[in-house]
Amino acid sequence: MKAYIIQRLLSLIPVMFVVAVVVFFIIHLTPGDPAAVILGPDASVEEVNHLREEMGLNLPIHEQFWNWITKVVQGDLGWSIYMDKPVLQAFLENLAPTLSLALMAQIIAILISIPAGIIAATKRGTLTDQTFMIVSLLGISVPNFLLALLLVLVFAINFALLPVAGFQPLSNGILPHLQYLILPAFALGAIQAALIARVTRSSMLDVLHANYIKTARSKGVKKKVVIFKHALKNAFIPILTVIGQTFGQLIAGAVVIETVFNIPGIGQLIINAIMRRDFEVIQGTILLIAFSYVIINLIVDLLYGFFDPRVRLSAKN
Amino acid sequence: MKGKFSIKLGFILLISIILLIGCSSSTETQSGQGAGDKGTHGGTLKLAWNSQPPTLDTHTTNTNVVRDIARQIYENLLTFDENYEIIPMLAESFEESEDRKTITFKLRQGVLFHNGKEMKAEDVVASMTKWQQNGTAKAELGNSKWEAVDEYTVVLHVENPSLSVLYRLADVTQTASIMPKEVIDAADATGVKEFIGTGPFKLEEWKHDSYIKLTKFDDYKPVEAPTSGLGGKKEALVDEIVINFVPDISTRVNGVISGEYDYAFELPFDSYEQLKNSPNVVIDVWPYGFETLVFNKKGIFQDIKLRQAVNHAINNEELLSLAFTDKEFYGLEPAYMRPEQKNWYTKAGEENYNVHDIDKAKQLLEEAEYKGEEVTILTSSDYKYHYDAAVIAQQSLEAIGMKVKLDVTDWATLLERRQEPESWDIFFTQFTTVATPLAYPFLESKVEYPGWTNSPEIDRLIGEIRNASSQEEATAKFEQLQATIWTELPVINIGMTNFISSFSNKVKGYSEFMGPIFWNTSIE
Amino acid sequence: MDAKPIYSSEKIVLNQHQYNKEQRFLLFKRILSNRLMMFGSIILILLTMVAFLAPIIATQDPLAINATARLQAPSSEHYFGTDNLGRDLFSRVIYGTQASMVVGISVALISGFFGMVIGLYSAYNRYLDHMLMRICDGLMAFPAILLAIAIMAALGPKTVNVIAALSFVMIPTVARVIRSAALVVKEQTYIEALKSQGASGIRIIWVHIAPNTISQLIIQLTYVFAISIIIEASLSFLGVGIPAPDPSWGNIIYEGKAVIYNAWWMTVFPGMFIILAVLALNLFGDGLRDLLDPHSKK
Repeated sequence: MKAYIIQRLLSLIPVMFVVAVVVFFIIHLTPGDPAAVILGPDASVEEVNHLREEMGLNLPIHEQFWNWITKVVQGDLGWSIYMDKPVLQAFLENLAPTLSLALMAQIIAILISIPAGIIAATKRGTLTDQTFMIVSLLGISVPNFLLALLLVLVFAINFALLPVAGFQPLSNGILPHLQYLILPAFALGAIQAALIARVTRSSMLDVLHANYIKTARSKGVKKKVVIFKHALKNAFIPILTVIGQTFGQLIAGAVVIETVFNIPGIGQLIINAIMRRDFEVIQGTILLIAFSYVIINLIVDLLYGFFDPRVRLSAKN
Repeated sequence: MKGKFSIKLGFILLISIILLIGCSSSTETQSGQGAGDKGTHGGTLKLAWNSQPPTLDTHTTNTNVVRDIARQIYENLLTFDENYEIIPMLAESFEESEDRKTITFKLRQGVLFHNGKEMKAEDVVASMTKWQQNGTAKAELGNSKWEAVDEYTVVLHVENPSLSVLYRLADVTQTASIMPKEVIDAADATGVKEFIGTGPFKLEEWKHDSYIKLTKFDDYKPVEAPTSGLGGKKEALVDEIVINFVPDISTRVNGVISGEYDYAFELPFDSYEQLKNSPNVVIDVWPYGFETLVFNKKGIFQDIKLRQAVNHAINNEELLSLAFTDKEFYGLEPAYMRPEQKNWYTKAGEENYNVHDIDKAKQLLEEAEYKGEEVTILTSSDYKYHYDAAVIAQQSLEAIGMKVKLDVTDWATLLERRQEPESWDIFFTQFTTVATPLAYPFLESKVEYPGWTNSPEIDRLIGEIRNASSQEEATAKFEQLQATIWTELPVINIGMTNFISSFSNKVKGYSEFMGPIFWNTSIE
Repeated sequence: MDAKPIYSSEKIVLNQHQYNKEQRFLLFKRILSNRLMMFGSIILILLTMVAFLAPIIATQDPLAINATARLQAPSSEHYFGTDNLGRDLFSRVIYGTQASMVVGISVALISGFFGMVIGLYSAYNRYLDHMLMRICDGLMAFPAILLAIAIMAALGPKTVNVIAALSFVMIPTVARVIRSAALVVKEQTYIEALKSQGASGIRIIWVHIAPNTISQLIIQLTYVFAISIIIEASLSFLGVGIPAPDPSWGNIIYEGKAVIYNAWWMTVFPGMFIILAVLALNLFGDGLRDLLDPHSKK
């Protein structure tokens, strides 16, 4: 197990390197001189040149990259010109709403999808199963921002049950917090729910057809016991994997959902930074998200290896 | 049609006045009771604002978002009463010499800054010296000298004596706020680093992109005179004002209807019906200013023929009716001062207003030897009507054969980018009601307002208005000026506009004078 | 990927032509029998026709502003109503279809081509494989939409840039699928035989391996198409995709959001088209996978 973890950690190095290179070049391909942007319109040519020198923008590109990456490794992700504070600080300040949203979306997704998947699997081929398949396909086919607006049309405008947009931090009480989050979280979680439900269904089907389950059933073990005690336990690994993989996507999806609902999270941070051409914020934030995405996947893989020793063996070969 | 508009406008004004009177009287009764049971006041006023201010240093900017938020924090030496007359605010009294060359201000004693320090002459001198380095203040006051005679007396030695210096000191755009000397000393080119004033509310917290929180300044010392316009007795009746930045317009509307916000500033015209059908909110239609197309005269539009071509290409009525939706909210009006400003209102230059003529526009384009250079319209979706105006203008200009690109950013970025002559050719903005036409930043060359108007004729006329010996003379000169604006077209006034805000019926005492006012305002 | 060989190698070598013909016939028969896939195909054909025939189908100029027809509800004159500038929404949605289909098809073709080249060569050459797959890992570490947003931030909102950004985002996924399909083919005995007969690497890759990855490629590209439509709409909705005033489903919805109270049609109609398009592609892709790759499960 230890060797496996070390191996996985080492394999992260090239991945993170590529991530850093891509982020670095995206920003450096962008037209416009960062020094001029920082100094503003009144700056003289000498001032701009001076700052370019100071910022190391006149160095060869590989040296610039090296300087940047050494800073990043030390936790210095740059400075927001617009907000006048470190990028890392801005990121952390905006993190809580995004995490709340993603977490709630994940909870909703799990609560809906796993029971739905189990029911569909146990009633394979029936009308329930077919309805399930169609709904889950729809879930995958509706972009989350669109689902969000349709939910707003129905629940916030037509029935006026929930707020149209906005955000209340947890510190203002759990009830308002949830009230504001429920529509965005549902819109965000729908795709996840569909994906998890499909995996639950197929993985339950596999397990239910395995010999030991059939044996258990034939021995007279109750259906419910078989499903929940034996089948679900064994079907859980693929379900866990898809949950882990999709959590990263939830964070990305939150970017879009936050703009629909005006939630002051990472998504708004990025979109605002783009509108204001606050490049270090774009750079730093995307790097952090990609990094956490990688870490989440790593954790999922490790858990996977923990639950299923065969993975570790195959990774060695 | 114009007649109909002015009737409606008159009606709106009447309503506003009734509202104002109603509000101020309710304020009086409230503050009357207030002495006995302070406990009924307090609470938090939750506002939804359309845009975040780029700064709260009023000295460096004339944008409305700064003006409207900063006025709760800062005060000037002078201000306006409800008749646009100049009255003292932080000054106890003021005196202008016969030749207008010296103005002496006696300061009120015991006025404290939010940091606890007393406001004295040195603070005024420092603040005003910094203030007059930018924008219209620079144009107006230039290198005028501020001198502290004693702790509570300041003398202003005016460089170019003019009718308008006092107006400029009182004006609401690029406000002449008084700040502590230390804060001014610590300022750099981008402005002050701390936002400390003497107003009834102090800045508690500014969470970028989220909100500004103001709290009641307990040591605020109101003047004795009754409340009028922006002056007189001011009292913070709520403990806290939270100004949420909600760029999304539907969120603002729904927020005020649902009660999440007590007040929503600048709502979309399309929400009018919806607001009218909501029993818990009060709609406030208020006179705003005029929608304006600003040319960058350092770029392709330094050619007057091209500017004329644009003026002929645009269908003002179409643009207004699409971007401002209903005649209740716009008027076809060539005037640069509003009809209710009797001293200044004129229709001079009318013959060049709303001259929609595509053939003529094409001909002008040909005369200007336009060769398909790309024209960039800078715009922001923070303001729906500016954005719509930009899209409509793009269509109109493409219809006469120009190549047009829209550059969409947030408003704060637009404010920055419009400073760069190479970044744009046209942007839309609104200029709000000002006390004198001299306060408009887009006319005089030395103001260097984005667009960089540089017209000797306009500069000359402004000088003459400034030095006019009487209001009649000034008015006559302004007529000439407005006619010149319409022939030289440094900007195009598309038409006059009104705006909607809305507040919960729990909000009492709210008023509006050249922008919203939140002192003397309480919430049940 | 644990996909097993799709066809048995002997058959292919012995009578590939006849086999393919027979296979194609069977395929066609099975497409017809899969009702959901049929449904998907019909919708796709319709949408493609709409995109091609947009100038004919659209009843009005999608950019024509009309001051007297602001925010009108659907009627016989304006099938989908009008938007906040009085533009005919039906025509805008139709032209939006064109925009989305152009983006989707372009991205599928471009990422298909590059993905195939990268996938095949990394399957064939161990050293290339190591390098290319590490790069793909790195690119796939970004959530797709975020990488697209970042690229669009750098390039600026333009249709061509949307296509470039999305292609860039999609290439690694396609490359991985092609690579694993190609690896399976490569292990087969007849490839070894060809190698020992001295066939050139390029010939082996393109003549013998590539054709056997086509079915995987097509399945993958339908999903790429679907995801492109979703991401394009999201980018346009965020204001960094297809720039105004040219219509796209995403930017119509963005404009409709401001008047969602007054004009549900600005959200619902373009939204319906997005759902239809993505649903059709998913149905088509799922059906295709069942047909071409019966061993894979999902």
